[in-house]
Amino acid sequence: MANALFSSYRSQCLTADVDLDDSIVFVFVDHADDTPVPATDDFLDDILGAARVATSTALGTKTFTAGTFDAADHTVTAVTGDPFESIVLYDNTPGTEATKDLIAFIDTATGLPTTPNGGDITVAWDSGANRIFNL
Amino acid sequence: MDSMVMGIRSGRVVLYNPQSRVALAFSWRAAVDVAHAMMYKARGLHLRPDMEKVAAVRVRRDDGNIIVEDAARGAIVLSAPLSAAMAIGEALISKARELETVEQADSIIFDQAILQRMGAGFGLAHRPDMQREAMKEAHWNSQLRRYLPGGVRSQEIVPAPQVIKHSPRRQRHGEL
Repeated sequence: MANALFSSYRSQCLTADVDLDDSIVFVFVDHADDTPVPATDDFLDDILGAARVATSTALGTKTFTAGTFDAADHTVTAVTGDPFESIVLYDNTPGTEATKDLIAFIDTATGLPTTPNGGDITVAWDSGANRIFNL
Repeated sequence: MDSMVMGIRSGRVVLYNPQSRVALAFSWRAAVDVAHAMMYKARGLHLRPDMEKVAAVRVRRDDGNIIVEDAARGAIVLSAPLSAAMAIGEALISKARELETVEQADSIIFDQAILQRMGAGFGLAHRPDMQREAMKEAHWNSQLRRYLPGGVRSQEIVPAPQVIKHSPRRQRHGEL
């Protein structure tokens, strides 16, 4: 696969149902338990709980310029558990997993796959023009 | 555990054990399968059926070690503790992806040239020489438009970030 936006999120962009100013978090996903499918998965409940190795706190210092979504590099502290092969961004504001919209799927990144060692793990977003993603 | 040498030679990912002087060479696809087999065995997971198709080597778990042996000759190429096997698996996948990029250079250059034509100026590979070649194709190849069936597609770009794993020891010393 390759990095991509979830199709459902692209549809939501047309109807303004997902606000990236909300609490946006990411989760490390272990593909041995579940592999996200950007074309069909739409909400967090489509990713099995067992596959979610660690979840970040909300992204900070977000910017939205010329269709480009950016935020500060983000560190998840003291990560333990299974190796993970992808990162999934989602909107953590809705109350239930069945309504938390999946946004972006990232399986191509320097350092993936990674096996947690109990230490912190930092995700440094691309420093080029497109940052986290560009619409 | 023996030290291992890993590299790319003659279009194959090579895993070499200098102590026993045994080497195995894989296609990038086989290398990914072997790496997954090692990592899954290290984690005590059942292999997916397609992973059993790696015929050149046998991957097994024995007394807390992952053992990779040449299926034809029975020579042990690697005997490593679980954590080391995980690390070697990750490195093997990384090498395999490098080789995949080289092996599929033509189609990657072509695909990237199409993206350039569509106005989505981002790289499908990290190699500057391939990106330069794609730019040339995008500028001069008059056949490219034939390869855009269905018109211009979504131009979203999700670049590759960097995942940085910190040592747990740093935390204990209070270095943030």
